[in-house]
Amino acid sequence: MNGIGIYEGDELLVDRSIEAKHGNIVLAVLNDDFTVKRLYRRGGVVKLIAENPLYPPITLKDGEELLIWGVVTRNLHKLY
Amino acid sequence: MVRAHVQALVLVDCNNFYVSCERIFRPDLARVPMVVLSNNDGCVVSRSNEAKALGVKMGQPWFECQPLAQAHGILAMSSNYALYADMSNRVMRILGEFSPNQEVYSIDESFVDLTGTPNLREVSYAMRERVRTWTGMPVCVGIGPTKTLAKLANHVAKKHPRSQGVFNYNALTNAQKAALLKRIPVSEVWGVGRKLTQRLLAHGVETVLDLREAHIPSLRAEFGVVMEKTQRELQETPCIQLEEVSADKQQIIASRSFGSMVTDLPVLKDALSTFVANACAKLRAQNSQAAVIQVFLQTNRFRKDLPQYSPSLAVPLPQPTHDTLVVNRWADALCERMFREGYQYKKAGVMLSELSPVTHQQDDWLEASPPGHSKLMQALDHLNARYGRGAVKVSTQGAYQGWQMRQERKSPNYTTDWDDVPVV
Repeated sequence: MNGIGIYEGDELLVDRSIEAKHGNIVLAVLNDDFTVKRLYRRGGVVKLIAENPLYPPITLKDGEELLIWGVVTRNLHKLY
Repeated sequence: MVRAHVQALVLVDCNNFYVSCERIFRPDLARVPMVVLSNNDGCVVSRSNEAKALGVKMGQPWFECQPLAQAHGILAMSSNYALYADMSNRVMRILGEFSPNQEVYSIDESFVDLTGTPNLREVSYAMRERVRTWTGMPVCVGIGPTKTLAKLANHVAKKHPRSQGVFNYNALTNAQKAALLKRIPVSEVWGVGRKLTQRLLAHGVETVLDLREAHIPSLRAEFGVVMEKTQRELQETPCIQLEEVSADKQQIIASRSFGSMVTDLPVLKDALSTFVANACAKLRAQNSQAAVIQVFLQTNRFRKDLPQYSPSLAVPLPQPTHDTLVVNRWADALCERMFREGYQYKKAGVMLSELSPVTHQQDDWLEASPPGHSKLMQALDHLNARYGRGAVKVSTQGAYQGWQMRQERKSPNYTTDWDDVPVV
């Protein structure tokens, strides 16, 4: 997620009580694994965007299950 | 008695609580058959549905499950009480928002009084949904006119997938109630344990309906007033009140089995001073002081091949106190008095009793009040609350490591320790 200023080792605050909307940064569970991505949800298409040109967006395929664990609301970035 | 409406008591119970706590932070374990083990990784205390289906029993020693575990890849984890207590607090706080009247009944169960609430069904589903989204914890909801029936309704909600996690006994007709109670064995009733079940069976009481309809005078004569209360609760007369404020404890016990046998006095003292620290912190948290301290040591009674010695000593304290340092000196002295060489100790503990509220301080004209450590203890509690239990300790605590619990498969303290937050 380097494209929006989230780097390796940063500490994120995740709010589980917010319903994830199109465009939110979310902590998602995909294939039993945690991942942080931008949620794209428009016209029945659900994608997870990495905000890093090196990684292509992940489009949810039929039968694949995506769980939104929470919405990322803050980034505590370490300066040192 | 005329009542405006039938009580709607709601029992919310977390599903497989310890296992669910572990899974919230480990999505990869969502479908893995797994169990959580008791202190020292001894017995199974929580099972996932998969583990239940494979036949793992509640309370079963883990070594007994080995063949099954290896054949099916059942995962076992040590209990992580810091995580469970924190998740419990979160769940309970959310449930408390639905009613001013709440009784936190155990770490994973809470009664909530929703009497007079319209749309009870919708509210119940909303409750379940909110706990699920906000914490990740799956819960079931049982609604009834009494605590006993709410508990039973919760059992129905858990057992029957069609209920989708919510069951409302109050919505049934009398015929439906009778039919339901006839299908449930009496052992599922709150407070009816294995022994009582046996005795009830001997009197021809097999189902919950049998108990509800049993002849009242003979039931009371044979089983006493407690069973009569249970029966009246099944007949929809509330007999057990909601206890919103938990009563202060009358005694506080801190004890543990050791991870490995202990033979040395310094190690025993080390363990005891940790127990004293925990017990005194609890004492201060409920604003009490203790007048009596008891210390006990135990060898392993299952090892018949080893010499056995399980002494216990109690002394009155000169002044009631909640001061870790004072109590620690007494525990130390008692331990020294009882300790004998040549035994392998498996367990030790401290019990504080004759508790009283701190305000009732009575000065003794023979034994002058010691200079108060109150400020010091306050500072200690604050530091330990802020930086984690054991951040500040009495110097006799924690020098020897041999006695600590075996917790070989413990998960990180995801929610209470910044260094342990989940990593993505």
